[in-house]
Amino acid sequence: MKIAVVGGGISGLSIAYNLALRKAGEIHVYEKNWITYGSSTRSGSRFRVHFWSEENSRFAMESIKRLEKLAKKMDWNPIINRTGYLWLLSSEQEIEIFKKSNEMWRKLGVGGVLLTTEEVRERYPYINVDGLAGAFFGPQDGSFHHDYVCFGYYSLAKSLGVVFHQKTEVKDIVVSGGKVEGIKVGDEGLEKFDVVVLATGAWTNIIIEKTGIKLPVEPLKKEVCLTEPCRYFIKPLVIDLASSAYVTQTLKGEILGSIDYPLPQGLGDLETELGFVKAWARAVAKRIPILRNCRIMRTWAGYYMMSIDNSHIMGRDPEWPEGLYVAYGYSGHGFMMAPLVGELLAENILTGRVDELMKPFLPTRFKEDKLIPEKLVIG
Amino acid sequence: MPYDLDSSPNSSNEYRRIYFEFNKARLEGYFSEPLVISLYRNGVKAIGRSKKMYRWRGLYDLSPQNRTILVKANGVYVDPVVTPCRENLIVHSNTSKPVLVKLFSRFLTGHFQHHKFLRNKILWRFFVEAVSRYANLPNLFEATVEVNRSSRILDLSPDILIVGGGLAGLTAANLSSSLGLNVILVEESPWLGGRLRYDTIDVPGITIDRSEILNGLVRNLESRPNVKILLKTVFAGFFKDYAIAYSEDNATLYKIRSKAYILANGKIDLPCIFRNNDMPGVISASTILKMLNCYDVNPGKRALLLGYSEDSVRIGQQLKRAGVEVVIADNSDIHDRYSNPSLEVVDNLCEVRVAGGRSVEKAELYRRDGVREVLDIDFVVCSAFSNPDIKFAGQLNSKIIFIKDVGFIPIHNEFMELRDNVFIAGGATGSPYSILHSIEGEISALSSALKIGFKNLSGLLEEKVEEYLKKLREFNITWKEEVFKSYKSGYQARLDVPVSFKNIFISKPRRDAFICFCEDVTTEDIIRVVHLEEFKLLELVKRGLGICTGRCQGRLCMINASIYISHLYNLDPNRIGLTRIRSPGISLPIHVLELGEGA
Repeated sequence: MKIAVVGGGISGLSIAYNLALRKAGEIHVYEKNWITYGSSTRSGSRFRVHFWSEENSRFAMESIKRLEKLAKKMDWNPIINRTGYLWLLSSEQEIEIFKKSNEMWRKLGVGGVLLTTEEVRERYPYINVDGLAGAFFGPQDGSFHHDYVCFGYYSLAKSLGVVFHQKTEVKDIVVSGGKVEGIKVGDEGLEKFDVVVLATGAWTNIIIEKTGIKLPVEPLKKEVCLTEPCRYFIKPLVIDLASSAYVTQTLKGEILGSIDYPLPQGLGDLETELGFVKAWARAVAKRIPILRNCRIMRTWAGYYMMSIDNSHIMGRDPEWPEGLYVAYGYSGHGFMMAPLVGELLAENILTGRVDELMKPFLPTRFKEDKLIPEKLVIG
Repeated sequence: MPYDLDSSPNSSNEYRRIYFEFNKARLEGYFSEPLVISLYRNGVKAIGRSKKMYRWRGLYDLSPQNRTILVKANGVYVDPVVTPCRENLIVHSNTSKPVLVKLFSRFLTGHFQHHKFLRNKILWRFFVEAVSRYANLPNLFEATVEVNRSSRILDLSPDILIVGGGLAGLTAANLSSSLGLNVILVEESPWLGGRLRYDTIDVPGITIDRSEILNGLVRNLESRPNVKILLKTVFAGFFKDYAIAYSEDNATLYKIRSKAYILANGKIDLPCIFRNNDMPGVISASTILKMLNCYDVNPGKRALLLGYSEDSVRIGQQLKRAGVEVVIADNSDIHDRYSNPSLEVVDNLCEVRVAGGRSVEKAELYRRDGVREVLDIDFVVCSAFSNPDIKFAGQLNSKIIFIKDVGFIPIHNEFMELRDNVFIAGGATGSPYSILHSIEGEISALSSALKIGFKNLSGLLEEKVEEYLKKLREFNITWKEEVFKSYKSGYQARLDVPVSFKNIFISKPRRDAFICFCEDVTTEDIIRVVHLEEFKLLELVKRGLGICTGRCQGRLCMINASIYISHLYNLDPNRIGLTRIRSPGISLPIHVLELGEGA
């Protein structure tokens, strides 16, 4: 079988690797710029298993397990570190919500701990607890190095014979007789393929709409701030749920974070705004006062590809042209989901089997009105 | 008065003598000169340790944008290049516990980072702890937050914002303010004049009266109420909603919305790549000149100048006049070396290694013919290669092309237009001589005025451009044609001939030849990612190694990394490319950013 994976981000790389591992045939990855270019390299590089919906929690749990296992095979160390997520909650209502969710998480085997403000003060003396009602700590969550994960997949895929076409833009998908015939690359003619997998993140709508398919997914611009490096002290990712500001520290020592800030929807420029930087600075200075002495060194922007129910879309709709698959709409959770998405989608492409874990995320859920109720989206 | 003419270079002897403390030793300095200069005066070259490999580091360049090394002064982490020396200042190097750092330092290199050993889960935990605890970084808990500093945020909305107070910037300010436009000029150093203060960059054979020109321009600007000059203020570049500048001196952040911008921010002396090139005592050419002409500091007794060129010969002669013994070293065959009998030249080098305890004491020069020479020196001057400062062009996503023997140049047209309302002039365009800088200053001012709506200036602008093109032909600067052509047609520069780079002095990748000083990335680390993964794009090398992500944000390493990869694989640097440069251009303290509007 000849398969084209469009998009060289984490999603495309994972799919390509998993296809190659299953000896699917001739696999080509097309990337408009260079591997990791899109939203992968702009990621905050943190993962969590605690989601509002059971479907997402289960999926993330399995996915991280896959990545940890794969880390031993990779040439690049993805630096997986379970540092935990600390959710700062400012109302009784928020605490109730987490209490309820924690029961579900406990059943899945990833229960966390609810902390009182006193306990927060004790365990994280650098956090200003004014106005907090409590906190939730999820020790199973953590961090990895996003570029090294991608490069790890890339070098594994390359060694399995996957062909990479970087700086090669896919212009169109050619369909004839209800079946994918191939893709149009650059100015050249048709490249024939049996299967085309779209893993083009925020840019998927542009290409998929050429085949007449429309799904309720829109790119949303997000910005991130990074400070100068300082001695490591913030171990978990700290989220202030009220302002949706988060702060975490990379192993290099930089403090990384973002805040919910009104930015335009849709694809546009990736320039950052001073207003955003100021909003984040204000939020972190309030919550972690010692950071007032730190200096913001860099900002960048990327996209969350937000689906209408904040959950990813994978697989295909039987009504689509035969051979067309998608994996996108991760709503900001692409990195944590991609290892399993690659595996399940590869299985699906080769055998047609739809795994239990994959079933809720099929693109058909929108017309069947089986949305996934995901409310925990941060940043 | 908006600026202080008396803080001129030669009056430094009148500065008040003061005492301060460095690592418990009592030292003498001059009031308000940069701390790093006071330290150098006292023979203190090694100021701190590097982040991962814990090597001694010192002054490389006097630009406040590099932030290569931080010290603790009165309990606050500061950049000794920006911080003025004050009476009774207590300064400490920033060092972790030496024994532990030394133990772990070898595990912290880029070379080791991807080692198979790291996949062992138990050892990995240990390693993570080591990385996080023992990297030599500022400890926020040991520093005090400066709460009572009068920090503030101010809004500025001039007609034209000019970045850089050198000849091009001053000329542009002079012309545009004479048209009645509101002009703000931002200069990072404590005085105006840029290179005019400490260097001569004239067409060989033509000398201009530098102080006459400078004083004339400054007098004009001083007399005009529509000109505002911000000294000791660093332009930090463009955000989507504002351009910003920051003054460390009075903790003021300027939010700027200008109708036009002129970037006249000059060139950067790039570090040379040789063994132990991070050692204290390796200094950029412009810094040496500032030491001699602005701060009255004796840089040392014996110097090794890297790179043979008009520039280095000029610097060599200045050093000689100051009583310094000078040897110039070059990596190619110099045929006209005897035309400068006053300076000793060693050419055809394949490798240079400097050695010493805490700072440079010795240099070993290896010639291609197998001859090895050992010199006793006490400082090294990196004068082989300077490149236009591409930071703002990079932030604006302008195209930047590599031109043989010149460097990476932001592409612009003959009207000095970089993008919409952003213009460029002077050394930042790559032009070599003062005469060109001043014409470029005028053209950029006229182009900006035209953009703002002074339609009647188009005739004058055409005339100036005509004159400019004539001068370029006269001085035989043909590569500018290529730049202008690229601006118009998006023409892709391609080099079909192998390029040699003047600042590379190693024969093979070495573990002690550094590319990135912030993250301690060596040439050996570079070859590892490039070779292993065939990453021949700087964007990918950056992501693999963390170059261009340290405190200097690629100011010192980006171009060097790109040309070093080109050198290794004999590729066109235009194919390796550069990385995207992010805003802000200089790091900004959170305690200033958190301030409300108009605070």
